Amino acid sequence: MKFRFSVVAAALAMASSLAVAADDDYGFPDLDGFAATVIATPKELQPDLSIKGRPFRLHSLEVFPDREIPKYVWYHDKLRYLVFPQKGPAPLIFVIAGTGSSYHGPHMTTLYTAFYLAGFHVVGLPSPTSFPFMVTASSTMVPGVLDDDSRDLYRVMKMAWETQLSKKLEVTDFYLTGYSLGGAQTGYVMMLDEQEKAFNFKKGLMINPPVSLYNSALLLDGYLRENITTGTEAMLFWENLMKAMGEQYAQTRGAVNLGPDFLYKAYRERRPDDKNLATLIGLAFAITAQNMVTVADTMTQSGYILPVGTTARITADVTDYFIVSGRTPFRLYFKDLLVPYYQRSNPEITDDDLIQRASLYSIEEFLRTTDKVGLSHNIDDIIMKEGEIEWLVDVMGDRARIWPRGGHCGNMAYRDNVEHMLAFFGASLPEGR
Amino acid sequence: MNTTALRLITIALVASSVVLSGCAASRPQEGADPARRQLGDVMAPEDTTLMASTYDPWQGYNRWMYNFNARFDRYLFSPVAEGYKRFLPMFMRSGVHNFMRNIREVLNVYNALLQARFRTAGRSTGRFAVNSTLGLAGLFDPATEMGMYYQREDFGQTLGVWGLGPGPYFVLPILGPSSLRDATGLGVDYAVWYYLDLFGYRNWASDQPLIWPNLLYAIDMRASIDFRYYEMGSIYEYLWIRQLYLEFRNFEIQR
Repeated sequence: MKFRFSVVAAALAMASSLAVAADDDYGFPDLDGFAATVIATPKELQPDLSIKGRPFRLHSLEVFPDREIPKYVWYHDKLRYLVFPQKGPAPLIFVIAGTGSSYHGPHMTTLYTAFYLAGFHVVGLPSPTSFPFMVTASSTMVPGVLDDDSRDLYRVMKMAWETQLSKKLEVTDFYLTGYSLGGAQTGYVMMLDEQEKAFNFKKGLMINPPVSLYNSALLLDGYLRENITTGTEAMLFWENLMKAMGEQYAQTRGAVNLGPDFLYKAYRERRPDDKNLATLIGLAFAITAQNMVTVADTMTQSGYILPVGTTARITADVTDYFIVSGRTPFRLYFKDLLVPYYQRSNPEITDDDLIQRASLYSIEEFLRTTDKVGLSHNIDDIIMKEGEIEWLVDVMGDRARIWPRGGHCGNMAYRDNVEHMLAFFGASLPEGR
Repeated sequence: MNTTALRLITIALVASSVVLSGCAASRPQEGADPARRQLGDVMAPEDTTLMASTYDPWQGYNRWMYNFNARFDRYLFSPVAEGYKRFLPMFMRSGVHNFMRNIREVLNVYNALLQARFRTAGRSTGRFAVNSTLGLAGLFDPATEMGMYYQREDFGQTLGVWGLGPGPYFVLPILGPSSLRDATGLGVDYAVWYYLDLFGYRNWASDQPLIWPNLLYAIDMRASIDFRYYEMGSIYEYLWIRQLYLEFRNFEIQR
């Protein structure tokens, strides 16, 4: 036991000496794209984003009052979103979460606290690909096509503003941002608003968006499935992960909460190789895809993994569905659920049409000509196919800020990134943060 | 850990026999086509899976209780804990938290001793001595600043250290994920706490109107756990939480 402890300590000591600054003036640790994605920004390289008390409120909306929600998802009866209100007049910013994420999570927390401290009313919305949004607010219930998902988001924003927020908040201007898939949706919602002018957004910032959701999803599918093909291999990976974390846990002193943060932290302190990191990132995405497959299938009664009309009870053992959906990559979600869903109302529509509508290519002209939309991205983002970053640079021109590293959203909380993000909106953190 | 919880556990055990008999798997509609993608399409017959290898023979009851707990939590437990966090200043809440941990320290001591972790037992004893005196009856926690950090031990862990596996997964009323071993451990810990009754605290608490010290214990416990039911983002939350609970207990036993 004691021996093992010292080995881990040595490994950790080595790890921290590896995390040195690279030979440029960007102070984010010199990590490759996979490591940066998993490790994210060490606390001491973040600005002080701590806030006093609990200045937020959870609100909920009934977006489709006539929709019948199955009994076993009673807990997602309404769409919940989080609001950080300021006292008195202030600009308001909507924040859209990344793939599969609800209104909480580490990246959302970075955005909430940074904008709140910079003086914004902040309104956080779940991703259209998240479980609660799919059930309560998605018009298709098979998310992935960016124009439709963004219309759903826009509907939720307008409803939240008209029925709830306009009565409570004094707002000077409206802004928009989102990270990962929420970043791509930011571009689409900006375009919708340009036509409808419900908010007349002054500016919108896309943070680490995919150019093509389909391409990015295939990459992420591959990270898991190129390394793990059988359940036996998956169990071995899981056992190693748990062993590593158990050892990590053994050295913690005092209270530790079991939660994604701990799981994440445990792994990120041990610096495993890229194969393991890629597998872990792939696993996290597979859990999102697993949920999307199951929820889309049940909500649309597509008979894909559950026979049509299945009346699952809250007490039912659904382990078989868990296994089948867990081994269904996003590629098959697209091919076997999303495309057939769209073909039900329009038999002419093809895979390629929908892949195009799930990408920023279909709003290229808007992105080229608008001066309201900005971009923050990383050259080594692991969800980007070759050439996609270059395409974004070409389209966005000097409204694009490409950082030399950071992986996928790993540097969002890094102080330069927070400063740049706020400066884009003409804001900054208070002195001393 | 109060009589209410114990009574609820008994009720659950009785209820479980009822619920267990009535829990079938999900039923497809009569005459519906089979699903297009099935188990045979995704795995070879000799392949294994993590979730299917977990021992959960009481799943029907467990799922029912998990869902009951979620409702209880959403409509009562969490709102009370949230209100507590919003309206009670931090220094008062940490006073409550320290006090509740301090009265529990005796359980950490006896379990650490049974596990032959004498350093932990010594540290917990030291904590109790320092915090009960310098810490003004446990309201403050000067022991942590002196390097004696808190480490929770319970009889379920002790049984685990002695080599006993978790047995069937078992969701307790209100308290949530557990196992037959850990639930038994909870009962033993409760009995020790009940009969030992250090400084007559337990006896005093149960005589208070509305047994408010015990309610406060429960609220403090809920307020210090950063978990909300059905917010993990997966429709398979029950299975994920089950897995994570069992792994986490393993961590605690191995450390």
